[in-house]
Amino acid sequence: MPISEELLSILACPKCKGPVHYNGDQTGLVCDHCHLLYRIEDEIPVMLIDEAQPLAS
Amino acid sequence: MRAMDPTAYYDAFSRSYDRRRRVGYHALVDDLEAELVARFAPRGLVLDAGCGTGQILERLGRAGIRACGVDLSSGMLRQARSRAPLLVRGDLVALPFGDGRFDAVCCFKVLAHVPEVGRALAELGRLVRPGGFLIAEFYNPHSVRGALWRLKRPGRIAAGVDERDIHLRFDAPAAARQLLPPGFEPVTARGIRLLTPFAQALRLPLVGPLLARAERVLADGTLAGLGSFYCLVAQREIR
Repeated sequence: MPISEELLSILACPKCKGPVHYNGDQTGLVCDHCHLLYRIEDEIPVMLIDEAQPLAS
Repeated sequence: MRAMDPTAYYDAFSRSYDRRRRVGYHALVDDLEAELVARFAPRGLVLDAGCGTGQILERLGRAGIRACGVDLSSGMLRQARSRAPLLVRGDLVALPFGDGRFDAVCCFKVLAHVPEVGRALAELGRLVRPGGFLIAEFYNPHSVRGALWRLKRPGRIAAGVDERDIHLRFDAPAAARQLLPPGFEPVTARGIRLLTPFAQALRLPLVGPLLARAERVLADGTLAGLGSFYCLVAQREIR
């Protein structure tokens, strides 16, 4: 489920502190630099490095 | 020390955390904390690091302050959803925000339970814009609560979980100032719970209201350093 524009505008990757953007179906946030996907759970983004899903680079 | 995983601890705690928090002692503590934030960040964007069930966020929202909450516990965040719109699950030592993103960052009833407190404070400081404020609360050993802690039995948090299951540290005011990250100067401090001997005292007829009044008066005075919850306000230098 998507999150508010305002929240999206202040979020960053917890690992590299760089920008994040929605994945294709808006179920998570992607950091292109770290190749990590952070899931969104009950409209709350889970920005934990340990729980992020690695993406194929 | 037999500290359990903090996420599991706070998920268990989240089910009872708000019980009896609306009035009396806990409400007074939350009020005094939120007022301090409102004083230093009347406008702009605030981060409440370790927002729990959103008690501080709700108060900031009512004061017209834009505030984002971050917490490690999904249980706590679930309770916060009805109180605040901007919520994120994250870890205090690796927060998901860019440098200088907030006008103020506050952290209440949290740092005393974080083993890597210096690292957490550095991370909180990173998020404060130059000229902005870091408001960090420490548990003061030189206080009513600090003294009683050494005597009392650990309080029950949930089935099979009590207060000894989470990391706990006390830092006196001078030590707390030493923990501030480089580039931050202490501006003021607020001492919360200087007198109240036990939480229920604030519910007593006659005594309760007087005690609450006294706590308010003393919080910003010269005795702030004897507050059980020592809230240090530090400003980030402008470069």
